[in-house]
Amino acid sequence: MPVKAIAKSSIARNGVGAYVVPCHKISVQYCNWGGSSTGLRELLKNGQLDNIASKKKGIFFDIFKRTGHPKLTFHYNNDKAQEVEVANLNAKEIEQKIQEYSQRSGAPLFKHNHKVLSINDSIRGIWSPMHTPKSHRHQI
Amino acid sequence: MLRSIARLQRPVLKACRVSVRGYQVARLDSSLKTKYDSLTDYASYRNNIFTHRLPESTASQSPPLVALHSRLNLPSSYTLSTLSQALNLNKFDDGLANNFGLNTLGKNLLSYYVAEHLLVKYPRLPMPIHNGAVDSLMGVETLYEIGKSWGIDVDQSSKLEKYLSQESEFLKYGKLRFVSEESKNDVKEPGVYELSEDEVSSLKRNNSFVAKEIEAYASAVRSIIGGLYTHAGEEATKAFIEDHILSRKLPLEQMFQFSQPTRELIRLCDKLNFTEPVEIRLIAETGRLSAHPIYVAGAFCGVEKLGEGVGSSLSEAKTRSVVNALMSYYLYSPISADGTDVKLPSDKNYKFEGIIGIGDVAI
Repeated sequence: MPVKAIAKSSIARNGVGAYVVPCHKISVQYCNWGGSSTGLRELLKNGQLDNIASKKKGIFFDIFKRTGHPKLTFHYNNDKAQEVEVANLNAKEIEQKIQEYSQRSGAPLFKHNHKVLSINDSIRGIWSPMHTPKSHRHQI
Repeated sequence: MLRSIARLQRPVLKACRVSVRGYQVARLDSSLKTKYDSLTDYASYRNNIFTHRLPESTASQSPPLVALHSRLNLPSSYTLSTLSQALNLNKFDDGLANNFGLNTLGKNLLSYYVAEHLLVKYPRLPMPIHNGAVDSLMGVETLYEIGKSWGIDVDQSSKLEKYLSQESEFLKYGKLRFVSEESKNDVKEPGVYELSEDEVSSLKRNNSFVAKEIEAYASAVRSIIGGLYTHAGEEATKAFIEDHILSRKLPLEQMFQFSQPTRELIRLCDKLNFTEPVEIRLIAETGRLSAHPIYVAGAFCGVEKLGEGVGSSLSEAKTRSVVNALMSYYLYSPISADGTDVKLPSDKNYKFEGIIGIGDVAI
């Protein structure tokens, strides 16, 4: 055999071709008695959560009642789950939380200090001092 | 006493050993209770195992299933019951149809479109690399990753647990079902994974381990593609495969492992009927006595430069130049006259463009 293959898995590029929303499930936990759940209860009662769910068809909303402070859990496709406390928040603020976290990828946030973030090689290549004509080279 | 028992057992085991057949023999799965008129009349084969398909009204009440359907942007003609069937690997799960057929269909479609894509886009790829690239795009591990990224969950809770947590019975129709009801009740130790019998036997057979879960995810992804073909036809399936599988980045340049690159390049030039000999020439250097000498070598055939490499020693630069020459030959990708990708045989108004590889060289 002249050449052998090294097994490598292909790399996913979500958005090149198809885009699949990384957040696939949102668990909404509320309490029927506690005062900290007032905002969430209102959101559930006035049908606003139904509106959000019907707009985000790709996300499975799991709503359940449990004693304690209300909580949203966002499940992402990288096996990460992000818990967000929504105690004492009003309906509007909770809606904003849902909007914000349902658009995340589940990867931890990081400060991006570079101009380009890419998995591809530079199309222009890297400048090399060895490829300039001899007359233009740096003389010591 | 113990020692004598251990001694006694050995010859018994040896006597039980059955010689293993080295080739594949097709055998009917007896659990499917297949009946036929005559053995060679394949049209008369009927499975008598009781299965039914999930009613659409039941499937539409499963939120994870509906969410998966819209997350994948599947057409409305793709029924939810088929999607649920694609996620079912259990043969004896409430008598529901499983994904065996859909999986086979999806696998065939995938291997056709992946092979077509690779053969047309990289016509000169050596056979081992081509096979590696097919695995890279539609191997079990990759399909598992895709299944995960589609947000498919595994149904791991037993009937009792579902009853106790008052979970809706419809929920499981949108989950991947491959764990049998008995093994759901097994006590699991966190961090410890017990191999099933299939996994142990596959480990012995080809010395590679594929976890049941990985295989199940891969099967579900293939089945979803098979289901798309049955409901929406070939065009939609092709677009789906292109969007989800062929759009992935294929690290082909990292997949080559040359054993004798210089010899291979010389053989290749022979095969291409290049009359001039292959020569490695030094193009530039920083100077032998510099602190970190760097050499630029080029692989030439007459006046044509085939490849170029930079190295910190002469032999490194030479090898890199030869490998680059080989890679630029093998990874050639044709483009059509108007600068777009070459058309595939399955495209409309297909006319042959590009090239056909001349085959691998032997060393």
